[in-house]
Amino acid sequence: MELYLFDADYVQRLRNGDPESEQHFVGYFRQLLRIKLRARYLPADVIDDIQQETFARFFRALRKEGAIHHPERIGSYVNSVCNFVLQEHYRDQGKHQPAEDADTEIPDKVLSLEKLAITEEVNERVREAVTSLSPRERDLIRRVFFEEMEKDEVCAELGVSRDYLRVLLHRAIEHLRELLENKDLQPKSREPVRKKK
Amino acid sequence: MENMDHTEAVRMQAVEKYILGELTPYDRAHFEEHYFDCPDCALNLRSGVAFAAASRQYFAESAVPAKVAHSPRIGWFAWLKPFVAVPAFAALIAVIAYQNTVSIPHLKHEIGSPAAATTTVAPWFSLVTASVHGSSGTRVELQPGQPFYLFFDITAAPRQSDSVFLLQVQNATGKTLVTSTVSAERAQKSVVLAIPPGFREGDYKLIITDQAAGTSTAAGELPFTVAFSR
Repeated sequence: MELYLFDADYVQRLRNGDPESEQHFVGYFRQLLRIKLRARYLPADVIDDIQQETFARFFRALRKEGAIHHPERIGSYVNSVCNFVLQEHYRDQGKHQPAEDADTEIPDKVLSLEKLAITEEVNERVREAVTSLSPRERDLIRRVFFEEMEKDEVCAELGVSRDYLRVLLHRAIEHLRELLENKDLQPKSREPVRKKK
Repeated sequence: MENMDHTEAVRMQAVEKYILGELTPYDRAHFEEHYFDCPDCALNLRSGVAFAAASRQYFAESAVPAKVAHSPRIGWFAWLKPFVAVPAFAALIAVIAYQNTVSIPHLKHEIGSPAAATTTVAPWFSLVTASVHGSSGTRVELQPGQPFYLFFDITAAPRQSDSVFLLQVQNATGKTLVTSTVSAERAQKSVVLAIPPGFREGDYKLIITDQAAGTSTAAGELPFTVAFSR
């Protein structure tokens, strides 16, 4: 499997329209954009539109010489473009973009997991992980991610702290990470790993 | 907070808090700026989101409404009465939770038959990834005459606050076999629709329509195929 590193060569290949690099770029950042937009509970069709517009603007900017000053931070650039598109979306809806300052309240709601396509391989690994949990841990995961109960209420009823929930999630991440390192969250996309020198 | 680096992201458990919605919008914005450039954090985030989504699907598919299997007359004569379904397993096991009215024209099978008393527990099928599987959608494998549940999300935003989503299960000829409704508020969570026995092998669609102010707008279509286990 070919490995990718975000650097000047990578950006140049994108600029040249290299199909593999383009496919990799879109596949990788599509996943991150979808996660970012799901964290804002936007409808699926709006997520698609914002994602498409972000890519369109990125590729338009790419064709302009010198538009991307720091190839190693191409990810930040994609994130910034998405933020502009989001701003315009909220303005078009006649809404104020939610404030992102230090005093704004924590939403305390799990990000939207609806209609998220998961590969069978990931499903299988998660099934193993969940069935190996203790009954209390399984109950915690079920109430938080499936029943979407208030986390304070769940933790109080099960006699665990919020930190316990985070540690449980962290263990699950460690368990799945190895699988995803060479596989995909979404089918038919690839991810960058450190380039072999 | 200035730009977040990887050490800071790990120290503050940014990945876990991001998924659980425990970051302020300010920290969330800084973490997003970080993970778009940090392959490690991006991979951890994707892994965590995959775990959350897949575990959700696991619990949906492994739900067992035991009382339906052992007391068929209680659960399944409900097609004669207003019937509502919600994905709260404790409520389903104790009673069938009521939220919507189901009308089932032309299907007169009753589960109170001797054969039904030995029928296995009604299985659940998730249509969450129906559109991923292609035009035939999710495969629903059953025994002939077996009832089942469909589990799905209504992702379209309601046109109005008092919108009602009409759910219709249609066969390949477009004939409506099951009808139900879900309020806009209720549609913010996953929906469970009970399908009575009597479905034949073949292709079906769950048609979702947004009804508000006397007009109807298409809000989704989830295909599935029924196949009998051999």
